[in-house]
Amino acid sequence: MTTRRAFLQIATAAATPVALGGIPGINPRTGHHIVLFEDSQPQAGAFALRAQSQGFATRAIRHGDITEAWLKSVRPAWERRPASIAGLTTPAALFCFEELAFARGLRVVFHAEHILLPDGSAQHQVQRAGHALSASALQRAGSRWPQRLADSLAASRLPRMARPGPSLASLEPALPAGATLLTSWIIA
Amino acid sequence: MLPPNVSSADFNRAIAAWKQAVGADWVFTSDEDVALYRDAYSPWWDEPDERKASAAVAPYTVEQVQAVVRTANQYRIPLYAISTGRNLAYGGSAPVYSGSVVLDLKRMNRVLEVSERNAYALVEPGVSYFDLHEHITKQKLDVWVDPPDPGWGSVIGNALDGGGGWTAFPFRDHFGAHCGMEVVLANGEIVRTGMGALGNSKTWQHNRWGYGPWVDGLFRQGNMGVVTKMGFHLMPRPEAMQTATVQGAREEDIIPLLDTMNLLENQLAVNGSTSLFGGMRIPGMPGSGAAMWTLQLPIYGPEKVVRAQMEYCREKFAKVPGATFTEGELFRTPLDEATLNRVRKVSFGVPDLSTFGMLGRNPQNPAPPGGHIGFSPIIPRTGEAVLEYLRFYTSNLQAVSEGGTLRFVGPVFMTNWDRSLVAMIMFPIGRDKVMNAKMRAAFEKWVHLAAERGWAEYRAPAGFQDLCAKTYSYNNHALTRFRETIKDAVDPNGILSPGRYGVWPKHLRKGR
Ligand SMILES: Cc1cc2nc3c(=O)[nH]c(=O)nc-3n(C[C@H](O)[C@H](O)[C@H](O)COP(=O)(O)OP(=O)(O)OC[C@H]3O[C@@H](n4cnc5c(N)ncnc54)[C@H](O)[C@@H]3O)c2cc1C
Repeated sequence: MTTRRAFLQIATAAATPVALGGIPGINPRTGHHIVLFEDSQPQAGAFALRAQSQGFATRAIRHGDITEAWLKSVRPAWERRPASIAGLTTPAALFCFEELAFARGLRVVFHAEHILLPDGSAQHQVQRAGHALSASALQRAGSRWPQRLADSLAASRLPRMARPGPSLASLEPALPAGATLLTSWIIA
Repeated sequence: MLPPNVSSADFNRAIAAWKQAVGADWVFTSDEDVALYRDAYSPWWDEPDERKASAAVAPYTVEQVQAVVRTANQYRIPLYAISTGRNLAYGGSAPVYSGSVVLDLKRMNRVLEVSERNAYALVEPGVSYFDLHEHITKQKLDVWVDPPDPGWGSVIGNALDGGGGWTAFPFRDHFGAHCGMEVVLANGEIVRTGMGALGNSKTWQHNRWGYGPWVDGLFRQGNMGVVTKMGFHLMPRPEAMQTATVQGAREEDIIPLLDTMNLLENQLAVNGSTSLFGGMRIPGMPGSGAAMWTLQLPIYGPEKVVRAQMEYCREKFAKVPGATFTEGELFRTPLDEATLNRVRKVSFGVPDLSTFGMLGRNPQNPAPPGGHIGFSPIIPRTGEAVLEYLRFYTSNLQAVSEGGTLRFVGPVFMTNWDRSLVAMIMFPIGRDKVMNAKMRAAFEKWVHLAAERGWAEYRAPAGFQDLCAKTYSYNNHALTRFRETIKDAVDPNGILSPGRYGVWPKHLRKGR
């Protein structure tokens, strides 16, 4: 059985942190190329700040439109070699990156949903657990869940992750009135 | 999953032959890999009737396509050709006939030629609007692409499904703007259409008609061959673009407003992609303010000509009682980055993906489902037809939407083609299977109700292509029977995209 991943040796190399030392834009500890975040959501901004402090290159996405990030950052990087990316974005942004990633043999290996309620609290659901982060760990972090998410991203080791099929990013869940949905993810 | 009516021994032999032809890395059989070809907006998502592929093969050259098709013919395995496979809202990359093997042409992504002097391009199926735009930009060529809203689609795939873009006529009718094709037939033979049929053609992308009966239409929304190259006429970069906004306050104003807009478009005094909003108050849409109707009329061309045409439009609308006419900003091209960032990029020939951001949650759209499918009937371009359609919609809405519990979006009137309107209603598709089943039932009801009035779709989601094809029933479905006769002749084993747009090969027609 051929898997798309198997032949993409380059991608496998990209997924091994040790192999990445010295490649510009890629965090040498984790192998992630870049971290993307939804500019219009403060929680995503907090996540990005923390990710920057962990050594990640970050890039803003405005209102779910990934065009600039895709054309100026991710596509040129993937033309060199398929490298992992991560984000805290709208579901639409994840869906777009996921579609584009398929063609390069990359998959959504971690996918969590964060329901931002009108009272300022958040509920978390991990749809696809690609690393040790659980919904309850995020819940315990309270309002600092974005920072917790960034920390766990920095600690993740890609080779342990499974190589599954499509995520559920294209179809949204029903939400309580006035709630907003953010989604965190790793594509590798 | 095996293709229907194919033994596992034969399937394994075919897989082995395909690996031989395209390389083992490009034949996908694992569940996770094949799942990537699921339709992300499928209204049957995770239900038994969801259309799924049995495997996928991704050739790199036309010779490899020939080899794949010949093997499929030998073992009678149905193939479903896709270019970039992002036909979202119309089936994604999933086959119409479940169990087909997806023939994925994404790797064939060469821009073969772009001529600035004669303003055309020749491309392979995997070339996206982003790719073609990048090529043109890098080569500093003074021509535009005409992208649909999502810039990641295939120039060929979009045209073959009947898609359209947003710049000037005739370039935004993508199939209409094509000029010459190369097609691999079911027996593996290569055909070139139009002037390309000449052994040493120098005019393949210069003249679309060639000599004798024109066959290109068989491949639009068709299943008679696998298109491996296609030419397209491109728009030389227009010097300028300006949009007029015209409004009318009363319901009956739509009749003279649309008549005037039609005249201007049919004269080509207005050549941009016009729009019509109103009639129903859709929050956030232009035309939902004081005015009942809002028309937008973009004009592309040399600045002097645009200004003169704008003046002519103003004169024409001055004759419509009560109409207001406002000239928009005049844009000179190429736009600088700051300007580009505040306009709708696709109207300026620049592909992007902003449409997906707009589909997301916002105050006007508090509960977006993520996915959607579109019901897109063609109606006449008259004010009377618009009013009739709105009455039809509102009078059926309560019943079809189960007392307003199914939240359709629409109708949105699209003026993609001259002389007709597409009166689109969008059906949200989400994770809730019960809701999805209700949306499917509602979609069917709209199709039947519209057909009773003489309105039918220009394009349909894969799972509804049979239903919509059946509404084209003149003279006991003579057109469908004619297409079936051709299908049986050119693809006797029925291996190419069975069922696409309601055309089934003989052995699969029983009971449909
Ligand atoms: C938010 C949103 C906005 C959209 N806006 C637009 C829009 O503005 N305009 C528009 O036209 N569409 C629009 N669409 C619909 C769709 O996404 C696009 O039309 C898209 O370009 C089609 O996918 P594709 O280009 O990847 O074509 P593909 O999926 O590759 O091809 C479409 C179909 O054509 C056939 N086909 C493809 N290639 C071949 C081949 N080489 N040989 C034989 N048959 C072939 C197959 O049956 C295939 O399923 C929109 C969709 C969404 C979700």
